[in-house]
Amino acid sequence: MSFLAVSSSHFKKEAQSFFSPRMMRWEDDVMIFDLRPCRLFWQNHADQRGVSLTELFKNLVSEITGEEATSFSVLAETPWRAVLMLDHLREKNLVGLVSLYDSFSKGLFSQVSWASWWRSCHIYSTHQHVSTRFSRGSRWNSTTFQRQSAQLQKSARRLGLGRPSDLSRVTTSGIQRRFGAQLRELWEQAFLGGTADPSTSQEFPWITHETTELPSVKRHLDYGLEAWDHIQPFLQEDLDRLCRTEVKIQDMRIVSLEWRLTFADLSSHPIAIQYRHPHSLYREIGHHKTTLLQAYYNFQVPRSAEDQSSARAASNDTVRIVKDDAQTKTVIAWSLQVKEQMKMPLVTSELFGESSTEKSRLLELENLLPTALEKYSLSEDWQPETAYIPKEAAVPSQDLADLKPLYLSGAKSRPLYIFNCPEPLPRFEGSTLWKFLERTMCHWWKKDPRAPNYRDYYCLVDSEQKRHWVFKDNKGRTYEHGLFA
Amino acid sequence: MQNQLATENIVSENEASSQVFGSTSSSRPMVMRTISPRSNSLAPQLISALSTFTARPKKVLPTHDPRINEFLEGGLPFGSLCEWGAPFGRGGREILCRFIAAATQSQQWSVWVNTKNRMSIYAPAWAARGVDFEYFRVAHSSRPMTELKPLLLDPFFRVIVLDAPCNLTDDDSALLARQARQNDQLIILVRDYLLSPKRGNVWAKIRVNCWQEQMAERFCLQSVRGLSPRQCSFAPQEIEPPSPVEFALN
Repeated sequence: MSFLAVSSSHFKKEAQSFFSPRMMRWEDDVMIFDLRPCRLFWQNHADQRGVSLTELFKNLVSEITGEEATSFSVLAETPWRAVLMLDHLREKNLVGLVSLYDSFSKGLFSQVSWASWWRSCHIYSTHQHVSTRFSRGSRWNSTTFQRQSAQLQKSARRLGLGRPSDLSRVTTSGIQRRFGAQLRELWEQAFLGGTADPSTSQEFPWITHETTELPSVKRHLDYGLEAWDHIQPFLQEDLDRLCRTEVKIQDMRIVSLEWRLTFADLSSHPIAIQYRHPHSLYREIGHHKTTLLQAYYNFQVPRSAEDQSSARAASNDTVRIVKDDAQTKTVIAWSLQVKEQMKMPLVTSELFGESSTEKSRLLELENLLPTALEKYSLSEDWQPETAYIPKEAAVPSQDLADLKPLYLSGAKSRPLYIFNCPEPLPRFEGSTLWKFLERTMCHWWKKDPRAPNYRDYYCLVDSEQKRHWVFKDNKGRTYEHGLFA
Repeated sequence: MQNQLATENIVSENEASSQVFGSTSSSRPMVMRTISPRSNSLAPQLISALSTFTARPKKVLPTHDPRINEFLEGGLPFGSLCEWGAPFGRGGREILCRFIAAATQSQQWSVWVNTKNRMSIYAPAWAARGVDFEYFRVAHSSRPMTELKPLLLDPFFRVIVLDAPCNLTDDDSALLARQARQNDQLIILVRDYLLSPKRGNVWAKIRVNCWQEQMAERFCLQSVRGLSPRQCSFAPQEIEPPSPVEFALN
């Protein structure tokens, strides 16, 4: 559940950053919240209360807006679908929270009217115009979009298309040919779950809504510092100062900080201190172990190129100081500012009092690490690359009994370790033993001419008695895919 | 000391520590011995105290296969560092996977630290061998002792497997052994080579080699340290775990 759109006339100012640190004001009374930075945080609270995420947000929305009977809200995987559905709910006066993850709501979404569609498109165009006004190379043209929209309206009346979802009778290339790429992308993102080529599609015009000035502290050192051991005590003091600048610090959950260093040559360099899960600075007043660890990870000298290319990237962008080979950079000053935060009103934070459940402890532990702990979810697919998904822990583990035994029994003959990408089979010295294991069909319906039709998997035992998981495709190419570790 | 009579008091750690620090979540039996004068021989008292220790139930992690458990005298012991010699690609980790399956099935949090570049675990194969992903996590790091130190120092994960970390020093092994003892964890150090009894990790309580034979495909276990010299082998079908659906339903 990635985005929450809420329509309410009584959005309390102090509650605006409650659901997520990232929000956008779509209309005067409509806010969109990006839940991705704190999805695990909310999933954990839902687990504690023994309710689903949908139920949790339903209760929270009514509590925050104070309008149980008159607020409209939508949970969706993209902001565009969320605002479309929200407008549809308001049009039909269907109060409450709707999640576009269940089949009933998906059916309701297909009933979105042309009136809702054009209202939302108009607002989308306005925001897109604002967000791309100063960016070069933007493909959004408001005048062209208005002209093409008028054309589509005329065609819809003539063809008797009752609602936007009826456009599925036309191919997407046909939509683009008749009404332009911009409308095609909007329609694909709404009703097909995305465009065919995400790399070229227009991004949603997200304009972050800033509520209040975020707290910050500055420090000017009496003498320059280079080593982390010398910097750490001062940074710890500044984190305590940061906690004292904010009156209701116990209500704040920090998602990211910016630590901007100023060097002796007066250049500055920002370091993003990111938390995997919203973190309470208040709980660590006096030591700030989590924050100092994350700052340390980003402060250290970059590792060798091999390490960097092989290490799995952290879930959030990090910036490391680049030090010259010959010189070391002396820090003479810095500023520490909260960049993203969630504010929980005291009453609600008491209800969600930090507990010592296993999931909470795991989230706290993950905040201490430079890389995420991976959890996996299985999918009903026989192809090795798509048979599982590294998923955030927010998704509850599926019940293995629901997974067809066929897929699990097939996995018994597969190795514990596989290569991230199949690698060309190396030449082996000495004799090798090949043992046929299985034939696996590829996703033939995707009609990718580069993809083979099938793969024949073998266990190859080399002269060193190592067992390799190799496959030969129908084009005669042989690859190594894993090792029976 | 020789003129002292020994009396013993077996108390639970909970009782002892709760008097000073408050209640604790773990309960580990320990023996408190008070010495009184007028004994001419300490040996009988020492022997009785030792028997008290040995009579306590061992905390071990067993697998679902009784032969592996019998080989390890019950299983891999908690509160210790164990070393596992398993050349990569020779099937040694298959047996370890059984231990992870047993731990996660009994709701004990387990983490596998993967240090391999270009490779990752194939989750369906682990699930097919009984691992419950609800209690299983994987961390990727080529330098776990520096990058994952908070994870190694935290008692959250009951079972930690470090898969072939590079440049592990004696101090690192000592730290791992101490942490395992303090937190009652099982830390398994996997090596990409067969262990030798001539030189090795003095901090590991149990050292075992594991590999799969080329032709017969039998899994072989050989004790190197911590157990009496022994070796055994199993056919893959002999140690087949119960089907995952049976795991889920149980």
